[in-house]
Amino acid sequence: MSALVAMQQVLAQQITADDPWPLIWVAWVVTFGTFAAYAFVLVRRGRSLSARVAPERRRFLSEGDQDGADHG
Amino acid sequence: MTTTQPSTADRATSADGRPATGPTGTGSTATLVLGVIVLLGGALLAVLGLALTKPDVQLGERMRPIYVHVPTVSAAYLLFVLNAVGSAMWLWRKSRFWDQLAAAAAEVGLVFLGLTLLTGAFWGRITWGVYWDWDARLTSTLVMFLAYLGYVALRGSILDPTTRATRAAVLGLGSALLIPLVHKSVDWWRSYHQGSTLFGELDPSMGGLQLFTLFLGLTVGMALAGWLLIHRFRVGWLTLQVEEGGLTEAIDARRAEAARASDGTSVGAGPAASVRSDEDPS
Repeated sequence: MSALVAMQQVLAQQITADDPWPLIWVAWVVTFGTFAAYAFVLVRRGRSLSARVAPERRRFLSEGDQDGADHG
Repeated sequence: MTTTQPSTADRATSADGRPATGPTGTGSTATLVLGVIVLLGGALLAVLGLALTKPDVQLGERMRPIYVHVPTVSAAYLLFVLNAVGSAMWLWRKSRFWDQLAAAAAEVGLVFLGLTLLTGAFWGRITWGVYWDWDARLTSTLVMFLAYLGYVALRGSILDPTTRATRAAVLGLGSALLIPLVHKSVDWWRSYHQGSTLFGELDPSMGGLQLFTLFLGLTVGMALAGWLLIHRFRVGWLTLQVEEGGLTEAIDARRAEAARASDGTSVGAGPAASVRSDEDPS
């Protein structure tokens, strides 16, 4: 919540201020932060799912999965 | 559903009893190389885009969001085209590879397009004075975002993999029609938004380090899209394996249950046994 409040304060200040830098920083930080968070979530999901799948089925067309069935 | 949770022993060995030597995640040499490129390129992009490039002649410092805004929308376009290709190939070949590729491209593209809308809103505030306006480019981009949000939601709402893939492919192909509409919206309708940065008229005042930084941003954006796409594809593939594994175990459990019912309690089983037998997919 504190991050949200801080962002709201930055945006509120920006309405009356003429300095573009706060919003420039927000744009860059939001972009990099979102990608980092999404990448983190994907890697964690991948590790969690890998533990539930037999090793030879963890990769598309990996060893043991080259029977040609249903892969087009 | 507990049937998809294997024991520790299942995790340690493969299906044929060999020691578990498979990958422990979605990473690989390719993603490691791409990841290093993205991290180094992203750091360089931040230094150049926020500090070293000169302010624009007309916009001054206000042009700095361009170094993240244009790469995100460019990558989103590319990913949605990939989604359309994957969708068409699924309808033609019925290959799960293409379906998973389409699904991964749509989700990753949605992240990129969402950031395009956000960075565009911030950029709009510091150049136009408003975060949002029902301008042709902005509105059509929002419509495209909602279309692909619907695509992802549709995939999450259908359990059967084949039905899910077919319906999503139709929606994916339909949504792809929005790509040229969004791209050409600044030409077809009156718009606050500037013209195409890359394939249209480049700002004549843009050159040297500014242009290099923009193309660095595009390169980093594409590398990041590739990195995320590979990981998301593998997550989708693993999810499919878990779903199929769970289904197989559920069918085996139902067969065992039906066998027990017919062997041991054939006298007292009555109608319940016959229902179970009818449900047996074999």
